[in-house]
Amino acid sequence: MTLAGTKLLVGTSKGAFIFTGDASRRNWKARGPFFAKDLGALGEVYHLAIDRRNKGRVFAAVNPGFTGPNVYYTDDLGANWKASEPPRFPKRSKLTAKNIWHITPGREGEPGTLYLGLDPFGLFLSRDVGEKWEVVEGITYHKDRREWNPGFGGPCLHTIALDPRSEKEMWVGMSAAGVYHTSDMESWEPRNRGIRVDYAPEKFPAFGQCVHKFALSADGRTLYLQNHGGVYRSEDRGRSWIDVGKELPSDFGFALAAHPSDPKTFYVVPLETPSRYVPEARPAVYRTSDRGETWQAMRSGFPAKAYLTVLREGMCTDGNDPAGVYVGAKNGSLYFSRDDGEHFELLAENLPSIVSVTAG
Amino acid sequence: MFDEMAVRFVFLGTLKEFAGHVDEVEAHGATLSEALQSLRSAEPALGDSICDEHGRVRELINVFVGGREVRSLEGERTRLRDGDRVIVVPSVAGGEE
Repeated sequence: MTLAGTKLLVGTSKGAFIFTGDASRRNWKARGPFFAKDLGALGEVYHLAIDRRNKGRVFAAVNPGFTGPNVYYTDDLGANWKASEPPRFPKRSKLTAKNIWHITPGREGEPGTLYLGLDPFGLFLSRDVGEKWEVVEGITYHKDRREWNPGFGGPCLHTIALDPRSEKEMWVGMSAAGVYHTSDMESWEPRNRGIRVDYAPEKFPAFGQCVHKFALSADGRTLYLQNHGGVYRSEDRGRSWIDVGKELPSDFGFALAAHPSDPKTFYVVPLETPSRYVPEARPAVYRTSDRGETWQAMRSGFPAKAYLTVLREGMCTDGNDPAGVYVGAKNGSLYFSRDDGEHFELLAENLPSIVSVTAG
Repeated sequence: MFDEMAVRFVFLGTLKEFAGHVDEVEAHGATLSEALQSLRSAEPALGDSICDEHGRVRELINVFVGGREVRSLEGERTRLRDGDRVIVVPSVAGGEE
């Protein structure tokens, strides 16, 4: 029962919501908010994930502010939540877990495994469907760590991309440390060649990029990336990147999402700087269908004028055909498209400030 | 080893919810660090809400012993007396909101 219908998980500054769509994805039923009261005034939920390998278990990254962060999970769409044993750094590290930024269920071939990205820069994994978490030492204690600097959101590991074809190959994104890759979960190397750092003396360093979000294409062969400045593509597993965002109205943005079945299509939401709302207050999702060579502004269904800000986890796609595209804004507006982004509709408004959307 | 020295943690504000809506919880220890360790053993989630993974009082949590915030005393090494009331208060939030 839990798995029926498309699920849209929404993390906000005041708790989490779970929306369930009917077969047509026209009508949605909302549950929540969760964690808005029981964890006090600062129950921020940075991210949620649904694990369809494990009967649709939903995970929430809850950051109460005063107290330590934790993962909560539910097997009944929020009727009951259980806390994980909190992800905590080993004593020898002297690091203190501040916020959980990202949750990713593992691959089909590792059914009990999930991954977590933390502030301060940390990668954790669970081997028991989220009951307990252990630090992934290779990246968390990387030799480059002492040279990594925090972005404005803090020193966070916010993006985790798993190669579906290899159980040990993955990429992580950190602000402002850049993209790191591993093939064995032990040794990690920076993969940022070609990604520009406008604000640093060295424009193309080996690491130190303020990467905002990246995603693998549907076929797992191409990486698409929204940097602090520029939108990039890599055809060689992140070894080198080319800027494909020159046609966009702004090279700044946070969110990026890949199409679930067309490897050439992905989406970004450019934002102006320093205001960090959509350019000229004209909301649009920008879509490319040729891997970033050309872009279309998808405005249908958005207000003509609105000062929307879409954060790092504020856009996602679902696995349907045609694909659903979901956009949550800081002003509490939630939009969705049922046709690959051709047209958008308002799903909900006046929610608390939206931090993340996850469909599954 | 902490049994000789009994203290009571008193929770105010949001932390009261973590304590299961009880006002006070007994713990044992001759120092705040020991008492926190005792609390954490008995109530892991509650202890974790007050301390980080290294046993340090969290940045936005204030702990008072004898009416003084422990950061102005000896921090986690602050000595406790039998029967002390250790008052735990989250920082007042207003901030950007």
